[in-house]
Amino acid sequence: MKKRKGITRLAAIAMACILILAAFIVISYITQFKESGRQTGFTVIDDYERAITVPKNPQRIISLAPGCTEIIFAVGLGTKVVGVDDYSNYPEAAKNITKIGSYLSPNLEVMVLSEPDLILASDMTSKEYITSLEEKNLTVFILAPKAIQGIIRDIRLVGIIGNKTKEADNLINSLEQRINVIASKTKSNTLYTPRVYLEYYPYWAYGPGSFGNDLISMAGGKNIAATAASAYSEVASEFIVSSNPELIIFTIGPYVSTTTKDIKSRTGWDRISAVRNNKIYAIYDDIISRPGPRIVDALEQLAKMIHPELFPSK
Amino acid sequence: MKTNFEKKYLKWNFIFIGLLMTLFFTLIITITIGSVGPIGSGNPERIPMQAVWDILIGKSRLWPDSYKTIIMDIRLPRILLAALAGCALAVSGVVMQGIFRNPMADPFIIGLSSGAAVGASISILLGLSISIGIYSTPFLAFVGAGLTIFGVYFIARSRGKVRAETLLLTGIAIGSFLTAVTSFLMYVANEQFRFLFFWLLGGLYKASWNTVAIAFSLILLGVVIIQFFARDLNAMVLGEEPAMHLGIDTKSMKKILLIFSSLVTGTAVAFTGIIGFVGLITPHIMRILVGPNHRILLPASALTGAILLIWSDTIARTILSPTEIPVGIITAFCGAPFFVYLLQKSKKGKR
Amino acid sequence: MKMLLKIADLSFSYQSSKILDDVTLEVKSGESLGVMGPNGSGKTTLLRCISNVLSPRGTVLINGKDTKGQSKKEIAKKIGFVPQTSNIDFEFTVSELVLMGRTPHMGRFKSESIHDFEIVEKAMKLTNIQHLSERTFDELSGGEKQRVIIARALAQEPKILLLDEPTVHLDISCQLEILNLVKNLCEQERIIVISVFHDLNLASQYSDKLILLNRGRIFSEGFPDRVLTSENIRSIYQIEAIIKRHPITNVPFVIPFLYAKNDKKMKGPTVHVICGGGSGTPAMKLLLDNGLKVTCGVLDVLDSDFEAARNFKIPVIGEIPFSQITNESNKANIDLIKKADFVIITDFPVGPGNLKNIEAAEVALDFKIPVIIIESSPVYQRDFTQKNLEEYFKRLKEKGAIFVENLESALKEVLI
Repeated sequence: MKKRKGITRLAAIAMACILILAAFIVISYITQFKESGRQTGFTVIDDYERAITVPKNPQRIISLAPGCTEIIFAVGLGTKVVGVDDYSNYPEAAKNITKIGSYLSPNLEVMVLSEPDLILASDMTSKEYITSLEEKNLTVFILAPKAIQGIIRDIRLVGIIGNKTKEADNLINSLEQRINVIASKTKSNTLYTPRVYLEYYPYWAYGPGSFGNDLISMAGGKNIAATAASAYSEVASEFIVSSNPELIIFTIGPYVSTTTKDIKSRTGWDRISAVRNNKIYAIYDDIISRPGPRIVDALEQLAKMIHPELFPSK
Repeated sequence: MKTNFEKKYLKWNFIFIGLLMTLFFTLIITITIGSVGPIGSGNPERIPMQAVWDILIGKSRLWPDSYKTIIMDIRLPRILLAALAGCALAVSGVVMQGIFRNPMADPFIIGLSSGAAVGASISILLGLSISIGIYSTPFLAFVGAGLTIFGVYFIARSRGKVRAETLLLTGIAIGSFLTAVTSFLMYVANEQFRFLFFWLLGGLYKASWNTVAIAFSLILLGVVIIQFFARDLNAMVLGEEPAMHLGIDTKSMKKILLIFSSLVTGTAVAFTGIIGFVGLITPHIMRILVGPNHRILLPASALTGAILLIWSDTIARTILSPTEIPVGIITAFCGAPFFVYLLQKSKKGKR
Repeated sequence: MKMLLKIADLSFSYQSSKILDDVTLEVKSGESLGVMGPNGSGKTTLLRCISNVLSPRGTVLINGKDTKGQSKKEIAKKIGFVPQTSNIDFEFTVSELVLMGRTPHMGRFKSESIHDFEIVEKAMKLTNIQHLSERTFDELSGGEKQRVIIARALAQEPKILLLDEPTVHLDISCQLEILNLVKNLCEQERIIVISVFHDLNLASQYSDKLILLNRGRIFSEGFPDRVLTSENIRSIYQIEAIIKRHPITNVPFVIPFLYAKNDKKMKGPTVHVICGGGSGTPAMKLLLDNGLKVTCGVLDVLDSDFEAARNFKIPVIGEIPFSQITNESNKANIDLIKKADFVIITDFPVGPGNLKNIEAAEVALDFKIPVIIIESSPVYQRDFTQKNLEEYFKRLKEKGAIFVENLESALKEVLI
């Protein structure tokens, strides 16, 4: 009898804990919707479709992604940046700005100490991290474009937020012009679209939903990995060989050290048209994977590689 | 006879107070260590020592707001969360080693960590923390751990009895299965893979006063209740039948201890990811230092676990500043060699 | 306080196999019960059913109260259990371990009281381990360890003490030490003691009453005299045993012996063995094992060779102790000799009382029956006939008796 009472007592305590826990969850849920950030400012919708109240004239901006950094600098807000992530290496000026840490786990202390009034982050920072930043009353605006048009939109948004609408519009115009130069020629239905294999890491290709995939089509090529399972997919060697791409383009950067010789020496690849005709090219990783203005540089390079007859290198 | 025991109890009291003071000093010292100083790489500016003192005693107005936010809202909750998690994992490790009479047991041995990982994966993959709230991942991790332990218990039960060996094996089997599920989710996850991987390695970056409050209430409750079962655990290590012959209702005792141990472990894992080694090694270290009697082993392990994790976290967040290393890596790197050293030393002592 | 343990219709099955079947028994305060039986007869299971670690069918009543309704804690206050071995991997001290025996008496939220320490001290005094109080358990010897476990059981202040083969891994001095201790506890503290024994003689020595289990049922119960009989032992253990009385304590003493073959259908030659004083027993056994028929005589009925011959079911001529061999006995002996193919004389002490046996050997030689004399020790050492034996042997030798050095050689002679 006494034992039973002991157990019911413990069960009651356990129930109480669970109730406390539930209460906290409800509280957090409610506070989630509370307006964080400044009272003054205006509301802009970010790429996660959240309505964020941003300051009217941000003076201390932190960028948590190299793509965001490039956009910020491109619209002329470079002087307002007080912190960038470890990988932001373009433009040159960004290299000298205080490093905050990797986009995966930016250092909270350094960020708070920099007293930012606006933080631009990408989808490479976990959502939990972002919510924990917002808990500390920091304003976080997400730039996570899914396509080239999205990048253009983001440039416009940043221009609006940072009061650099004129610069932003100019930039957008010149970018769109350059895109048109290429798109007008590659739009044609009669144009032959060579098969392209674009890899960013040995046997890993850009699939549907990635910039690389979009760029290939815009540059007048056919991505052999267009039907892959996801934006970044491992592709079987036999699939690549049987698709017989006419061009092989691989990215180079600080983390990948593939060479043309490596590609040529892959087993069975000597049968591939691109290998036989020596149409193997390298492209710098940063410009093709970062959601920033240099994506158009990547487009131009790809266009030259895929349709040298339309876009001769001068 | 009585004086022998009195001497022993006095010694235990000293040990407990000593550890408590060590914990206190650890707190004080580590609050001054961080990426932005006073002790640390400082990047770019550094908080002066005076500021820390002033903020702690309430004169924060002398210094910029950001200093106060850093010390009181970022660092202090994080240190407290580390203490609570370390305490929870160590106590849970003691309990698991006692119930299963297995020195290799740790808090995650019955599949808790794998269950929590699956819960967290689901939350991270579906991006629930944006839609539901910041606690979606901890909550789902906790639920995952809880469901796993219930599942393991029910599967291991046969004819109303749950033998420790069956429970252990079932837990390992189910744990492996859930780990495979998690690996699969990680593979499918693509972009979110990184977040999941990062969460799994263990990190205290989510600490805030809210999380500390929840963790504190749940973990303190669990640890105190477990302490009341110290005598039962002493008997349990003699064997299941000898314990029964001493009047212990092993079935209900195992159930209660598993529930509360899972509660504290689940809470720790929910907020900090999977931090290994603390739960495995702390009980062994303390057993060598204070003996196997759970009446001192439990509180000593609790305090030591807290101290160890605070220091591990401090190293994790400053050694490569501003980048943060997941704390699980630090505990593994430091814990394993130290344990080997301690083992060698105790072996030599015995000879 | 008077205690009565009543067990009625106790049955226990493990999955589909029945381990205990309808066991009923009663033990009173101050009584010690020994439980015996072959492997797998359910002895340990019986103990575990009594202590309620297992849940059997049937009732276990302690002073009328059924153990089924009681909590493990309540039962632990009354029943203490000492297992066969204790494997304690952790470095608890002896005093800590004995203190654990107080667990059933202590509340969860209270610490130990002075009373608890006193009981622990008393338990350690009774088991004589006070000097070991701060040593760690794994440093102790087997006997010391077992005493610690008993002390722990005693700290529970039990009215019933259950011991499962308590001396199985101990050397002989430890065995006696432990069993004497338990016996004293039983008598002085009036505890009910139920012990499982593997050694029949220890059981007989240290138990007031015995039960013999076979395949889960009580085969025999009662005082040792009643339970330890050759027939019971033959039925249960399938061995032959002689039951004697312990020379000092007078309880039954079991002496098993290896069953010697004695197939009456054998057609081997017959050997007549003249022996005495124990020298004949190995000879009889060896001959029987080799397929020979054996007869024997004349032997003093108190002689161990006589008893052996009876046990081997060998035709033997017996004589009243401390008397000369009578004419009838002698004649019967010679009749047996005439029917034999060989005669073997072992080296037994010869006195005026059994000198006629040697003379009978002469008769054998007259009838052309080979006589083999085993001389493994000098003649004068067993000659109690005032130096006549050597003469007799000389005569036998002249008549053709063969002298060999040992039993094996004698056998060789027969088998040629």
